[in-house]
Amino acid sequence: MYHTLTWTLWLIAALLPALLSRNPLYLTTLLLAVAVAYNTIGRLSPMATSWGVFLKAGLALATLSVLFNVLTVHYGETVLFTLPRLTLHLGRVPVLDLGGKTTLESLIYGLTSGLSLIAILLIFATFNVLVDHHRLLRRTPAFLYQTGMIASIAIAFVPQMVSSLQEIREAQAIRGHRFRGIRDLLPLFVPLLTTGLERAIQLAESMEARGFGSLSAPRSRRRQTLHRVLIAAALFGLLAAAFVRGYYTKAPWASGVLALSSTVLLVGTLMAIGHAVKRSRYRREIWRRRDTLVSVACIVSIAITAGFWLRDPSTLFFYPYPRFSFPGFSPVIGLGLLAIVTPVLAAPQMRRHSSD
Amino acid sequence: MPTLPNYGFGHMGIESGCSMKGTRLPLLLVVGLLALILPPAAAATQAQGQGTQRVGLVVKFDNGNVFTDCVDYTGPGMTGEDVLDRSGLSLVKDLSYGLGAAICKIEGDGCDYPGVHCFCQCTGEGPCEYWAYFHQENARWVYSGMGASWHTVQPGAVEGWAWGAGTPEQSESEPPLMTFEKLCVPPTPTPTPSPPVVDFTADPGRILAGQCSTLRWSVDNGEVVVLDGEGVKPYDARYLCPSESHTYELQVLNGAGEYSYEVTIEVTQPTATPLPTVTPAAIPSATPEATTASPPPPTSTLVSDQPNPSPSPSQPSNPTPTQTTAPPAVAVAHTATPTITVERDGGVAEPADVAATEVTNTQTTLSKPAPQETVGLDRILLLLGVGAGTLGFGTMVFVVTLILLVMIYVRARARF
Repeated sequence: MYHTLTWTLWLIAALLPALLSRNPLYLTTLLLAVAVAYNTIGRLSPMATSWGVFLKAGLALATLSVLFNVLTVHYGETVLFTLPRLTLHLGRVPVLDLGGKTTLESLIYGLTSGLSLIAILLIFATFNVLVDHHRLLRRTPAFLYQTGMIASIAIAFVPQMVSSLQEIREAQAIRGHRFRGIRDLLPLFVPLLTTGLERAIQLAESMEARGFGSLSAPRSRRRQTLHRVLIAAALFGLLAAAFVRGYYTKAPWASGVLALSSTVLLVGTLMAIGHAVKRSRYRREIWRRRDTLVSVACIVSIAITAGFWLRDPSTLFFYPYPRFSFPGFSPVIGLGLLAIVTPVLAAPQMRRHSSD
Repeated sequence: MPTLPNYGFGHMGIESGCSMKGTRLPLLLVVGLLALILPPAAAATQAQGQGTQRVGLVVKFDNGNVFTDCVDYTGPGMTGEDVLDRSGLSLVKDLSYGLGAAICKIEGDGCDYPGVHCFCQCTGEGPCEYWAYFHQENARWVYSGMGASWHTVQPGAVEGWAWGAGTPEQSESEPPLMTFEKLCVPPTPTPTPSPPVVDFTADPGRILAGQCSTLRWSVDNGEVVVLDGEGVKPYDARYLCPSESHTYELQVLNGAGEYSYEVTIEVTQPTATPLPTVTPAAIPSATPEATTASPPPPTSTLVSDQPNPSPSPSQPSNPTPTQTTAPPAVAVAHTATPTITVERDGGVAEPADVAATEVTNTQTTLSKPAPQETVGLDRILLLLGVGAGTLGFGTMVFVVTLILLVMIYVRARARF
């Protein structure tokens, strides 16, 4: 339906507010926008059922977050109730301190932390449902082609492994085998491992026959060494930029210049490595007008969120302590969050079984 | 033989009797719960009996000001953070680490977390300034390497906080050394001053004209004694010969307040003998009443630039009727065309400038929008206004955003 780069921009636009803000109003809006995207165009994908798994995992994590915060943090002016306190000391060092005052502020902080976790999980779940994984892997940069190839093989093998597991279970059940304990799993995993290895050997032979893993322009030893030194220098420069930013707060421009130059060096070196790898593309993705529309909306959303974070971070913050007060909601940030649903607005009317 | 239902505690059938195995687990659970509840309850009971036990607090600010306090000890488990909370100082804390509270700001000194980092003055360059935490031990301050949320205090302890430069291991700034007795010694109650004891008499209280009487007074526990506006001694007497009945007032002031006492010497005029000429007392001159002048005529509020005539009492009593002009927005609501009159010298009303009249006239000719089109919009705007006033503008925008999302979802579901 959309270009892979469009979905990547969408992912960044959705993730940024979830990572930078704990304001429950923004997170709720973001969650609903992502849910709208899933429930409209995401349902058409064959991976749609995985969304429920992520949702359940998110709810479990959120519950743990709330419980942990409520039991361990006793700060806040609005006391809801008082639980018996359980403390454990090792000498004078307190190891455990549970119970005591349970405040509304600690409950709300736990809820907002849980909401943030759920939002991040569901964003990735929705991205997982909406994007074509094979096209995404084809977007792997040339200098990482080996990593991309391994990931493609893993993604292709997982559903095959699942179906093999099901076949083996049925075959063993027909032979009268019952799975009652851990010891009964051995007749299940041995055939699974055997078939997996056989499949991997077959794939390796076919890939070698097709010339996978060979470079058309091999790099000289000198060039390889130069590339490694440049990558190391660029990474060291980024580390130095982070140190300068943290230590020399009165000269932020120095860290910015250092970070920018290190990034340029790193990207340039990686691109030079990538040029040595020749790839054949059998089917190119088409960039349509709706991709431009959604990409522009996502870029605007990213700019709004990043702009507020850099210029006025207090707009994104939410801290319920010491006394809870209702959070604010900026219309501009709200507009940026609504950009998450532009894929729904710009999508053409689709048939139910198609995912392209 | 009927059996009891199995609640997961083992089979508790009648034929087998009540087995120890079946009752051991619930007993263990009850004992465990009691072990959790009873110590805090005992501590609470103990704390109630320790209401007179206290903990001292000394806080030194960046400008050198020192705040001291003495808070009640609440019982075992009271931490240094609790002591600071009970002092009533405004605090900013960072609880995001989940390992207790980091004190970012006390009153005006510190960092405004979460807008900035809790230790914003410790970012590497320059001196690292933060709120250092101390305990008083053996008449000296000991820097605490443990956070205030984890350090438990005892009755009679003295806690200290100081803003200043330092390192994570040691602070260069310490609060002034103050003992517990100095911080928490209860103040001696000041005795409440009692009212003065006054004896104020006139002997005799009734005299004939020409006779005299002795006015005596004695004041105990008085600081200032005034007789008819004149300061006098606390113990004194006056031999007075008033020509007519007179009430003497004695005012006594002390720490309890001001007290007033009166004694009247009544002078009886003899009927037979002619009374001596009495110099008439100076009759206070009556304040001349203000002559009732005719109310000034109402001034006119003009649209034009004509000067306002100053009101004068000498003007005739019948004021010139004038009409006030309304600002343009109000003029639209009037059904009749408002007329503007100008009062000049002599009280002659004249019509106002034509320009002002024309402006007013054009305002009344605005066409009203169609009523049916604005009813829905008016109601929506009213609803939004009421909502914004009640919930706040931000919340209203949030609600509107949610409604938009729902509308997008409903329309999109119809398409897909």
